[in-house]
Amino acid sequence: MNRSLIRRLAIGVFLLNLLAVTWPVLSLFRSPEPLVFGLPLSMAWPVAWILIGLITLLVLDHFEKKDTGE
Amino acid sequence: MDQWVVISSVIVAYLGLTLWVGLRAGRGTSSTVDGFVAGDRNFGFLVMYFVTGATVFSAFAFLGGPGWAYSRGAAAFYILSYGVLGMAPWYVIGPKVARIGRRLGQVTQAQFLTGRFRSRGLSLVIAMVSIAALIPYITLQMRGAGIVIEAVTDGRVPLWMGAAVAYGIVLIYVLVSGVSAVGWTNTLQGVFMIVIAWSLGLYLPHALYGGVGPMFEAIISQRPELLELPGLNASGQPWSWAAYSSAILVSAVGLTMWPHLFMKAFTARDERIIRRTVVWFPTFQLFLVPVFLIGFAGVLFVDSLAQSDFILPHLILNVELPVIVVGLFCAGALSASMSTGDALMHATASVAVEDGVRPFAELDEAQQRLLIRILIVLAGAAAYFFAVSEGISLVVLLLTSYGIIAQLAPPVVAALFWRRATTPGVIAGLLAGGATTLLFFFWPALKPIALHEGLFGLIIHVPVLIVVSLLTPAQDLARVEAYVNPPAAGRSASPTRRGKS
Repeated sequence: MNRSLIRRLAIGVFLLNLLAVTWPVLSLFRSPEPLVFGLPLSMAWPVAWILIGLITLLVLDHFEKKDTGE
Repeated sequence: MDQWVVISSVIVAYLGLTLWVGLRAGRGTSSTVDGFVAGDRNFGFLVMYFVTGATVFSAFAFLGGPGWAYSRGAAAFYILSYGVLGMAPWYVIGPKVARIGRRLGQVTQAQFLTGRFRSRGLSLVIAMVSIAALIPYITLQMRGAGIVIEAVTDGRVPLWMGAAVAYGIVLIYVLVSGVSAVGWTNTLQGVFMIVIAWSLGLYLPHALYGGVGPMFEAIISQRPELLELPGLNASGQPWSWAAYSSAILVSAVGLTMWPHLFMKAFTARDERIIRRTVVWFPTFQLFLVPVFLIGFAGVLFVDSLAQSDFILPHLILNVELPVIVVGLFCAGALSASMSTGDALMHATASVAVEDGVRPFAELDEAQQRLLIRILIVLAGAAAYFFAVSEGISLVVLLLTSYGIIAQLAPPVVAALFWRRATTPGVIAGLLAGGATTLLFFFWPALKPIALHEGLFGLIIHVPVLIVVSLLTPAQDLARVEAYVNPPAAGRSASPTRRGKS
């Protein structure tokens, strides 16, 4: 896949991340219930975004590495 | 044997190990300013990963994190949300800064900025802003270390003595080995913090409630408001969405602008290492999950603690834990405190000399290193004085310094990405943004909405930077281009030498 597309996608994911963890989107996930893997929804939601961030950075880095021949 | 004797022995053994690692670290480093401040630009991935992680997560995270979860509930989740957002832009910015720094021999943030925006005044302003923000941060780390030692020794080792011993050791290894000591001790301390946080974070809910799920079910049935976003404020009333959301924004913008983190870009062996550090940073961020679990474990077990920051030592001492585990916990908390404190002290002194003194006075290498060492002692002494004085609200100071530090982000972005930015524009923006932040900090009643004062600062800062830049003559485009996108071949040439030919 081409590098600038991947970069744009990565920026898009982090913008979504910002929207997801602030008001007003966050108010949809304000409740402690249901429990997700034992954690309240209000805590599991930001934790899920840390994992999404990790995956995004891994994918971005994979393509950047390939393109610069590192 | 008394419990506190065993605990103290574990702490002493741990401190001895840290000192040994710190003193050994400097062996391979040159005795130059580059070596002392930027580790000869030779940090590998493992060290960079732990330096970044352990520096970000300080005593504030280890003691303040559980404290927030215990007293303010879901409000603490904002700390989960800003780390990755703040670190991700560094994937692009970090390597660029490192490349420019390597070529021009820069070791501080102000040197990077004044390379593009030439002004000794700007250098001095950045030095003063950095030091004003760093000293309360060091103080907080010292108090953290003192609190832990005082609590677990039943007051036999008072706060002033605990802080003095822990930071005496930090002082020795930082003075001897410079930033290399920070790198290697942080690796040791980072491993310690993670292992101890996860073990306690899973063990305590299990021991007290039978598991993480049952713990939250119990809290939901008795105190559901605690786990509902955006949580509670310091006085136990519901926090506002504006304050919660803007705290995330300002912290994300400010995160990599802290001088002790920014300067680490100059320590990496190559750009690839910086990128990999950013990619793996979220794994360090997950360390907050067990930290919060520890705080939540206290909710139904400990009735209204006067100082919520003591929740962790309090729980540890009141739950039947093997005494060796208590000792290890203390070592973990000291790790968190010292791994941030050493980087902070080192950065404060380096910034003071490189940006506050050197633009105004000729110093040779030996004088510079001597002066940095003297200032490390002075910065430590100043912070220690505040740490043992009662009645200074440090957490408030620290939260505000985040607002001030965030004001360094627009100049950094402009230096790299906006060719039309000018020196007067950057200075005007910095002063306007800083003044706005301080105004709303001292007179919060003037705020139109309950946003973080640093965000108001940025809202004023950015337009002022743009407008003043456009109204003043543009910089020489060829020089800007050469600064921002240096030719790959010219890596080691310095601009002064190039002028000779």
